[in-house]
Amino acid sequence: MQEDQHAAGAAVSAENHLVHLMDEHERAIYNFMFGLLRDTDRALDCTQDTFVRAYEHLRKGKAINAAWLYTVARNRAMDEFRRNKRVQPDLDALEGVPVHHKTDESLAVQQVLECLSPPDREVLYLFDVAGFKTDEIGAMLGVRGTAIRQRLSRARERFRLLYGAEA
Amino acid sequence: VNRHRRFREMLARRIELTPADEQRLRAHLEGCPECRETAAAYEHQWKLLRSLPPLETPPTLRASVLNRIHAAPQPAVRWYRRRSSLMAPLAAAALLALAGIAWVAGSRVIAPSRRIQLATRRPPRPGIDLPNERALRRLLLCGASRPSHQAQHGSRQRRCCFTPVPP
Repeated sequence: MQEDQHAAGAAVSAENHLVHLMDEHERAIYNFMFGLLRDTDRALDCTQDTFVRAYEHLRKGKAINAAWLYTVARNRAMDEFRRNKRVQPDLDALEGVPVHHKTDESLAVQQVLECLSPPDREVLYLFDVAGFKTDEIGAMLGVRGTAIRQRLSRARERFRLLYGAEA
Repeated sequence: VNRHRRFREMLARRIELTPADEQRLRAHLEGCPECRETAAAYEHQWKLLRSLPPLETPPTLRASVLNRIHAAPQPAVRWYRRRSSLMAPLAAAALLALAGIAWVAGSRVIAPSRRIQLATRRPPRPGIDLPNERALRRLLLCGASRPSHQAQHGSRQRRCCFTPVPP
């Protein structure tokens, strides 16, 4: 009986914590997933799975931070890549961007991102948009910080070339 | 070329450089127009990515996550936790029973060394190892502490009383 009450209390606490996490990170995680997968449906699925896993983790009384969420989301996206060898880019997703923001520049950036490889998009998103440091990204992806710095440098150079061509 | 590559790597992650690295980079940029151009391009790129309008999360995301959480079967409480209230008194009773059995068995079982000692022990010799029955009777009847006894047997009453009496 006491165990049941304790379990119910833990579930409520985990759910409250999850709602708080979603308030803070759901948009960023969804955009990260879209940045990697370029497909709104799959990005939505992966984001859902990430937060369901976060809930299970919280139920066990374990702590969660932004890096944990990004790592789980990224691994889920990699599963999606393996399952569907080639994920078709979803150009309609740009409809979700508010009209007053949809400038030529942002469209050009989106097109350049389409052309980059997922690892390049990943590292650019995590560094520039999510604001992680290279060592933190290395810890998330399970590689050394020096490897991330090289990857970031290559991604920047490719973006620069493609953006120059787009412009 | 390697030197430029190293500075390009630094430019790619300029926002996380240490003050010392930033100073070295600036010193290099002053004398290198090619890297200055790269620095300007990377800075523009960073601003573009930072200002990229994020996609709005679908309104169904949170509801879907919460539905999945509520629909998922609650993790089963492990049997040893569920029955912990019953198991504790049972375990205590079993321990007590074991202790009782051990105590009873211990009082009946004679240790091997003690068994050898008993088997090899010489039986007491009457009148030598132990005073014989008649001597004991005389001891009890003679009233060694009485003055009449002292007068009869002298002061060496102990010798008198423990002298074996021939049967």
